[in-house]
Amino acid sequence: MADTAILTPAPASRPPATTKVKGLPRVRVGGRAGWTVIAMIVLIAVWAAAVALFSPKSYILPSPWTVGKRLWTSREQLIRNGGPTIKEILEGYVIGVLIAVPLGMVIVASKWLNRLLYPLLIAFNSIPKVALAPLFVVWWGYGETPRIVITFSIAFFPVLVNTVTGLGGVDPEMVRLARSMGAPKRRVFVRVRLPQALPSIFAGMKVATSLAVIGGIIGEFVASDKGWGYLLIQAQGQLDTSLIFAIIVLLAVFATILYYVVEFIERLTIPWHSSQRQN
Amino acid sequence: MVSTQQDSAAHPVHSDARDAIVIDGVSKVFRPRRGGTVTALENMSLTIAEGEIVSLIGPSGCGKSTLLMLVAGLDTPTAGTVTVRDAQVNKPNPDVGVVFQKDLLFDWRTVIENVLTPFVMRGQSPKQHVRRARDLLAQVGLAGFEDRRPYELSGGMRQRVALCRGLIQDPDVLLLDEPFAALDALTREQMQLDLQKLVVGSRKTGVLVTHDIAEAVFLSDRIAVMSARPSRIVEIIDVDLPRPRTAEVRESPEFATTHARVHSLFKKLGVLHG
Repeated sequence: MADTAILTPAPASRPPATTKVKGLPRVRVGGRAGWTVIAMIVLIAVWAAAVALFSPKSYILPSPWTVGKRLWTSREQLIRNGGPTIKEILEGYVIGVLIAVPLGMVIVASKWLNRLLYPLLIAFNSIPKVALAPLFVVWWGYGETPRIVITFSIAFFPVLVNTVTGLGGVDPEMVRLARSMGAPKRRVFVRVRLPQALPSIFAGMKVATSLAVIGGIIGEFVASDKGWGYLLIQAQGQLDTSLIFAIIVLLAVFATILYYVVEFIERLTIPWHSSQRQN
Repeated sequence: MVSTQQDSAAHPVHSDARDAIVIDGVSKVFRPRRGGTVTALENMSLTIAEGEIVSLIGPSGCGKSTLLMLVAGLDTPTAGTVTVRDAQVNKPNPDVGVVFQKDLLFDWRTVIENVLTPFVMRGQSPKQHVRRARDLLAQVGLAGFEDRRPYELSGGMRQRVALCRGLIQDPDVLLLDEPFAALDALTREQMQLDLQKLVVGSRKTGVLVTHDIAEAVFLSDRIAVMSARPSRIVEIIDVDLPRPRTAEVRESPEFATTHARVHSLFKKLGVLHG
């Protein structure tokens, strides 16, 4: 068959990637980090120019230089208060993910729980969690518990909803294929539904990172005698704007790192997904 | 003239061979949620001999795929029985491989892992089948692609992987539900040659659901022409072309005659008009 050569893709022209280490995809940070740095420099330059041009009072808008100095001079105070904040955010976030993902699985796996629990959870999600903060303080006092619970309750829902939609959105033909191979329901779940839902679950987890940071700060606004959120309220009372800015910078940095840590885990977990392909 | 389905079903090509698939008086009635009933199949009978390739061809919605799903054990008939190699079908069976129109490859598994998926789905270790998987991939021109991911492959290559997956357990029966319908014409022709090599070479029984008359003629020993719903087999046409069939067979007068017969049958049925 002379035409075979034309019609069959010639493997020789596309040799398999020999350098690829299985399970450890190349992580290209250089390019994106470079752009991030440029964007930051531009932002700071615009900020500095605005301050130089309009010379606002320093309690309205301090210069980037002032904020940078403040980060250094108040470093002890900032570090001391950062510890509890970061701990609460991470705890609330991790607990949220650890409960939301299995709960989502159970909701999808059980028709009754789906009917019973899911509408309830959606209704609960529509409550602004900030409104619950005072209640949590009444229940758990001024310790870190109410703050972790607030963080948890905000970070929890996007993960849950994305888990449920991801698991439910599996191509029914995929399921039929697995069944034609003789897979029992449980194996279809583990081998087909779950892997196919992972991109959606990770998307929810990434959204939840910034929400967790919000939750942590709100928790400290309402009930705390330490942490960055508490410090923000203190600084506000004293019109200490440069301290406010210093904390905002730290929060932004922390939230960004948290996001990229989750994205890094995602890249290791689902290198096959379209969002993670590097070609 | 249009023969009755009982007549034609009783005459498989290889009269000496055992029956691989016996479809006996099968009906399938669906009850859609919006009410009423849809009769997809009515009192359908067809016997397919071992090593034979039979195509089911007919208009859209004539129940061809439904019939295939019944043979695969993915659905149960409302009436009648389906028997594969003397055992009544009531659940999926590893002796029966299925290839769907969509390749349905798992993005998260490499090419060779996809081929080996049936073992994993049955809770078995795929380890001792790696060699066979490599052989199958090599036979369809995919040597060297074992560790690629599906997204790196073209549509034709993906469907070849799906074909290898359907054959990995060395099933006696291969069911093909419009497996090449989504491919371009050239790729489809190549796939038909690959399929012939893999199925005819190992004396497997094949049931092919297709819309494509040329594909049916090229691949089949017999073509069962089906009418629209409620569906029945209108006529079974024997294809007397020597095997293995090469691309040149398509140019032969016998090919053209058979093709024209199916075509005129469709016209008579009102599937084609103009």
